[in-house]
Amino acid sequence: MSLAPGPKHGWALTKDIENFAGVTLGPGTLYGAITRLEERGLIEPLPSEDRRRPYRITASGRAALTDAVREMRTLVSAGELRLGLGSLHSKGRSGTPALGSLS
Amino acid sequence: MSEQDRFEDLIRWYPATWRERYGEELTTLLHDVHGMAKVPLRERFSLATRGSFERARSSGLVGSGLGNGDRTRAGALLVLWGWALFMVAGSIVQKFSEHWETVTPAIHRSVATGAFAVIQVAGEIGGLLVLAAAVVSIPGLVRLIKAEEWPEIRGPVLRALLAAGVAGAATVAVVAWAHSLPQHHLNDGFFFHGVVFILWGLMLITALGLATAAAVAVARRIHWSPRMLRVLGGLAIVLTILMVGVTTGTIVWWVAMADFAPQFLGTGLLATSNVLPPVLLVAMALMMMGLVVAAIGTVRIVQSNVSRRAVI
Repeated sequence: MSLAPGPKHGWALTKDIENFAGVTLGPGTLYGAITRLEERGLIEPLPSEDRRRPYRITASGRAALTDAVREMRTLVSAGELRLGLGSLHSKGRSGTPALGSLS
Repeated sequence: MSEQDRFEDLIRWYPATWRERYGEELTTLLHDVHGMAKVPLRERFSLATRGSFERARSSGLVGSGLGNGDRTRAGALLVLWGWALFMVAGSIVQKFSEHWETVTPAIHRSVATGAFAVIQVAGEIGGLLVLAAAVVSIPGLVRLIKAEEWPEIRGPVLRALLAAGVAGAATVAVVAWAHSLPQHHLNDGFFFHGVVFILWGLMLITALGLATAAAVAVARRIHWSPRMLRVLGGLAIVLTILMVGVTTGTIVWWVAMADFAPQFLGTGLLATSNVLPPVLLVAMALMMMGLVVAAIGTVRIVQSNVSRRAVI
């Protein structure tokens, strides 16, 4: 997901994932994931820049990510509906109290 | 050690091909993350485990990333390692069981005799199978040397030959020396005699380990035809079945001896009972380890065969 907006190298990926997911991936873990994703053709390397090689998402990687996000969205929608949170979100969007303002 | 060397040292766990592809990027990232600071133990552990996993994966031991042939080869080589453990365990059992017939009442000897025969026959057939695998590997080894890949395998092969030479010379010397000893030294457990025999045993185990490592290093580089890989996979599966036979035979022999001639099994060293001599416990532990390793290899071979048939 971190590569969806554009190519990144290892350090930029670590920082980005830390920011949006709150998880700090160690270099070993990150390169384990990069190896697998590259083998499956979901990401591809770009020419190295000062010993740092950026990676970008491929077309099939973007398609797989889209599928995964849609699947997650379905799960989130089902969860919101069953917890009665769906209406709160829609109220928030229309200007009435949102989840954040309830606390 | 320079800063770059420090990080390169941390990624030694990864296989050479992986390091060629990702090594520079990973060491640069380690530098970006840790700079001059000490790399935390947790990170070192993570690199060690992930590097070992990549190594196992590149050898075809885990994962499905490699082809069926590579997985069959990896499985067969695992079985070979299991067999090496069995040879050590078998030697211990062989030495321990010397003259067991003389102390077992003839009327109670049949079960132990049958079990011991299974151990010996299975062990001999297993040895022949490994020899057959070594013989069919010779043309591949010759091709490997002709293809100028000798530098790749020189280290493990020379180490194995050196260890075999030293162990062989030591064997000749120990046998000659043992024959020159007075009979009461041999029978009464002369201390120095015992130490020499233990050192000799360790030398043989080292030679066996290095020979197995050399065989694995060579076999991993030989280009096998699919048919030859199927043959080697089949031999490895039969070898695993023979190992099950040896283990079962040893257990049955042990139980029979404990039942009918417990005095043969020992005098209760290390607070054990007479029927649980530490030497046999060590041998059985080695057999179990060998069996587990061989079983993992066999599963790998079977999985690659199933996967090959699914493709067909």
